[in-house]
Order: sequence, then structure tokens, then C-alpha cells
Amino acid sequence: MDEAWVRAINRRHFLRLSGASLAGAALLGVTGCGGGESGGGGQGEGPISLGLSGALTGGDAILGQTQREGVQLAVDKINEGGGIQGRQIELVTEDEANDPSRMAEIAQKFVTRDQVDAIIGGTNDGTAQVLAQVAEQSQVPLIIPFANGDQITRGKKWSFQVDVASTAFVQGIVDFATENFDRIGIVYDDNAFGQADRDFALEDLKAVNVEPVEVISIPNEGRDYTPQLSQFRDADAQVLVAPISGTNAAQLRKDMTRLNYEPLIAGPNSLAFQSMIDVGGEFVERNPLLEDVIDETKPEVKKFQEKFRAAYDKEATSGFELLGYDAMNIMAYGLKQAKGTDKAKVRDSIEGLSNYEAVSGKKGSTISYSPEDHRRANPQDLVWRWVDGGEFANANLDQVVEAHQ
Amino acid sequence: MANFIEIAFTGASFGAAFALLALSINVIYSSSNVLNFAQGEFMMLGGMLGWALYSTGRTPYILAFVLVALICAVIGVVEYYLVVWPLLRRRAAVISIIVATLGFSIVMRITTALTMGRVERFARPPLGEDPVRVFGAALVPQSFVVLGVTAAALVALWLIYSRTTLGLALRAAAFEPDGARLVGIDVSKVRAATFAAGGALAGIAGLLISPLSFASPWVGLDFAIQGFAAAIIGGLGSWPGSIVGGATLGVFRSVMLRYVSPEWGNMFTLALILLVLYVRPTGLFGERAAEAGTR
Repeated sequence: MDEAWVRAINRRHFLRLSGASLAGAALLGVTGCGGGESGGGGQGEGPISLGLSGALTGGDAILGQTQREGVQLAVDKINEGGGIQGRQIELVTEDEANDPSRMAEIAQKFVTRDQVDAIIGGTNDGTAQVLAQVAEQSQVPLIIPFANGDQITRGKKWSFQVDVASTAFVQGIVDFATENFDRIGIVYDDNAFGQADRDFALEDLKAVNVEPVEVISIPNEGRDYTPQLSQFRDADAQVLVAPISGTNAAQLRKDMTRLNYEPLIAGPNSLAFQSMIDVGGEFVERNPLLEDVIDETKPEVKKFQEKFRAAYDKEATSGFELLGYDAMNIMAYGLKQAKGTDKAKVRDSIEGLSNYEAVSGKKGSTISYSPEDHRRANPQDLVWRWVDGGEFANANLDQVVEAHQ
Repeated sequence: MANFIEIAFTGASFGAAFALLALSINVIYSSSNVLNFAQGEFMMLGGMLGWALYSTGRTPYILAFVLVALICAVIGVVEYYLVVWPLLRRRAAVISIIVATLGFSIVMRITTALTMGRVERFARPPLGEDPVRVFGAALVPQSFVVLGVTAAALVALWLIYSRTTLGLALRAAAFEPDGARLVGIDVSKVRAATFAAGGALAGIAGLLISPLSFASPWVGLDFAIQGFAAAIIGGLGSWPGSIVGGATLGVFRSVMLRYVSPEWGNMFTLALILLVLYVRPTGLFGERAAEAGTR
């Protein structure tokens, strides 16, 4: 075939294809950004659309599941009561899969295609930071039930955290460790959460002139921690400050038993998952010790447990279900106070929250936000817990200290 | 000394499980030149089935062992006929087959998570958890099981390969498929048999290793990385190389984690691969296998 003719055909084909692509993109842009029908949102009479993002697959799937259950329980209760201002709540649920790049796609989808009125989500620090960034740029109210890194909402106007701040967790653990033990080690998950908490722990220890005997990271879902533990054993660490996952804590405990070396593990509520008990079995009885936001002496927690059991035919075992529930109720508070879905008004209402009696947290604790601080940063909100008889329960600190000194 | 024995022995146990996985990769590769990237998920599945059958279902361990091997073998055959054989028949590019096996691995992972749960599970060890003391070192009974079964699997496979008609057919199909067809060997069925064997071996590896840690639907990719690393170190296509590669990898990683840095896990795996390939580009046993035309 004549070469010039081939070039001409190819050029025409290219131009046609480009034109079709541009037209298609313009059409998508119009339908994606223009109307309000596809994703709810806006000030109208239709349902209130909330984006809900959590890790539903991958290693953090338990977090996403518990969040979804807590949020859904609150949504069902609100909708059964007639909704907010007569409008039902609809959740648009996505799986962030513990992947920040996936989180970026979901966040953009929430604000552009779904046009949600507000968002709840961000399972861990990495994904929550991405979500907070998009919420800030798009000016959409965001409540983060779990991820509690202090940097997530720092300087942000549109994001709020429900779980107690990382710094408060770590402060509580370090205070306990330095009051009761001499040789303190730090073991941390090799991810954003673990590294941030390691830094907080080092600062807190330095503030009281204590040098940790060893500081070692462990990979997430590792299969054998014998090499790392033998280093702690050589340093004779009595207690390990442990911002790690429950699964890692269970594996550490199993490997500790093999080495006949059993220091106390003391960590935040990242340990408070049924998977720690499922994986660790008898190895996690009364060690580790963990801080959590569930206080079983609170009547509100008992009522929550009854509702949870009725809805899901299982127990809420950690504070995470409560945090999801509280996150949705705080969002509902913001929507009610704003008398609609005007995003700026909702944000202002949430920011004005004061002495809110959440279901999570120690008896007597409340949640308050301010323009300067969108965190919940009071360590007094935390409760010490352990596994006793195969279930999470409030811990007896005297027994713990006596067993490990 | 006791410390070193504990580290090395634990490393060798994990290494033995990954050696079984590498063996499963090589059994398939040596008959069809297919690198099956779903093998890690078979190992994952073995762990999850072990949890479901033995830890939770209270099926006797030997029966659970057999069932895991059978189920994984059947799924291996399904993978072969559904995913691999259509592409081999059309003489598809190697990369296409690899991508197809990756796709199958994703299907396995998600199906397992949806049917058996998305969270980690405790895998009950058949001989209990009380450690055995050897020269002062505390060694877990399950480690002995892993090492013993790996050795037995290698001997069994060698006997099948060198002393049976099936083994002869496997060698013929691997060495000269067209020639094998001419003498009446159904090459496709032979290859399906290797996918069955590969699935069973990987499933057994997962069943054995999960009591040392836990079972989870999300660990297949990590297993695949370690298994392929062991196969490459030992030499692709070499069965004895699989065992040596796995053992070397397991002990090397554990020792380096303990005595060099506890934080560089996969870096040590990569470093070992590079070191071995620099010295012997075909892996420790790969060249010998290529020269001899045997596995």
C-alpha cells in the first residue's frame, strides 16, 4: 500500500479516536460533576449521602469490618427514628484495602462522582492522611473513627478524629512502664503508625531521662520473631512498649514462650482485636496489656453491646465498634445542628462539639473539639485491658506488675 | 550456642516449608516451563484448610493432611485446564501465561477470604506447643514435623520420578514433548498431573507452617516471594535445588535478622538471590540439571 496513503489513514483514524475520546471525557465530566442525581448530596429532599471508607480486604480487614458494623448500627438507629430532618442516611461504602493510592481514588470518587455530603473513614494513618487531604481540598467534613496519628488533623479545618490521639496512648504506656520497670524496650510495627508511635515513645522516655534497652521494628504479619526477641532477651528488657497489631502481638507471645523469655507487652488499642485471641489462644492470657476506649462498667456500653448482639449475633470485643458508632453519631449531631447538609455549617457544628458523652472512652470521659484541635487527646479517656478467659476484660494492674517484675 | 541453635533451627523449619513450595514450583516448571504464580495461594489455602478441618473441625490430623493434599491437587488440575492449557494450546507468550496464573491467584485469595473469613486464624499444632530441649535450645515440635515431611516428600518424588512409568513419562514430556506425543504419552494429562502434584505440595507446606505462626487469606503473595526466591537460589527446574535453596534461604534470613539487623527481612532475601546468581547465574543446582537433562 502506498506509504502516504497509510499515513493519511492512520492520521484520520487518530484524529477520529482523539475526538471521540475528548467528547466522551467531556460527557463524563458533565454527568460526574454537574447534576446531583447520581450521588445524592446537595440541599434537597433526598437522602443524606455519606461516604464510608474502610479496609475490607487485606491485613487490616478486621478494622474496616468493625468500623462498618459500628457505623451501620448507628445509621440503622437514626433511620428508624425518621432520619435527620426527615431525611434517611445512605452510606456509599468503599474498600480502601489499606492502600493509600486506592484511598486517593476512593476519596476523589466520593467528592466528584458520588458527591457525598460528608465522609467517615480512614482505617490507618497512611490512608487517613490521604483522605484528610482530599477532604481539606474539597471542603467536605470528614470524621476519622480509628486512625489517631496526631499529624492527620493538624492544621486541617475539615477533619476530626474520634479515637484517642496516639500521643495520649503512648504517654499512658510510657508512664506505666517507667513507674513500674527499669529496663524498657520498644518494639514497633514497620509502618507509619508504628514509626510515629516509636518516635513519641522515645520523646516521652527522653523527657524522664530513660534510655530504652533496645528499639526494634517487626514486619507486619511476620511469621517468626525469634531473631528480634533474642535481642530483647540479651538486653533483659522487662517490658516492651509495643505499638503493634494484635496479630503481631500474638505471634510475639508464641515466640516468647519458645524462647522461655516473657517480658510484658504493653500497647495501644491496635492490640484490641479478636484476631489477637484467635491467633494467640492461651498465649495471650494476661499478657499483653493494652489501652482501649471500651469501659465495660459504663451503662451505655452495656446498651451498645445488646444492640450489637441483636444486629450481628456476636459480641463487640474491642473499642473499635464503639468508635465507628460514635463517629456516625457525631456526624449526625453535626447534621442536626446544621439543619441540613451545608458542608461548612456541618463542619462548624462538629467543631463546636463540647463535652459530648460518647459510648467509647472511660466512664466520665467526654469528647470536645475546638478550632485549634480536632483530636481527642485526653489520656484519662483510656482503660487498661487484657485477655482473661479468652475474652477482653478490664485488667488488674497490680497483678500484672507483680508477675513481671 | 543455644541461642544460635534456636535461631538456625527455626529458620530451617520455615526454610523447609518454603523449600516444599519451591519444589512445587519446580515440579510444574520442569514439565511445562510454566512459572505458576498461584503457588503461593495454594500454600495459603493449605493453611486455611488446616484451620478449618483440624483446628476448628477437629478432623484427625492425618485425615486433614490427606484432604488438604487432595483438595489442593484438584484445584491445581482446575487451574491447569481452565487457565494454563488453553494458553499453552495456542502457544501463547510466556508473559501471558504468567499473568493468567496471577489472575487465578487473585481469584483464589478472594474466594478464600469470602468463604473462610478475612481475618487471621489460629492453627493448632498436632504435637502441642511444649518445646523440646536440645543442647539447651528450645525447639518447637512442629519444626521437626516440617523438616521430616519435607525430607519425605523429596524422597517420594525422587522415587516416583526415577523408578516409575509416570516418572518416565514426566521426564519425556519435559525433555521432548513432541517426541513424547509420538510414543503415545498424553503430554497434556502429564502436565495436569504435575499441576495436581504442585498444588498438593504447596498445600501441605501451608498446612505444616501455619501452626508456627497463623493462617490468613492474605499471606499468599508473601509466600510466593519466598518460594520463588528459594526456587531461583536452588536453580529453576531443579528438585534437589528447591530443598537446598529453601533451607539456605530460611537459615540465612534468620541468622542475618538476629546477628546483623532485625529489620531488613526481605532485603536479606534479595541479597542472597543476588549473591547466588552472581556466582552461579543458573542457581546452585540449575546448571547441573540443564547439563544432565534430568531433574
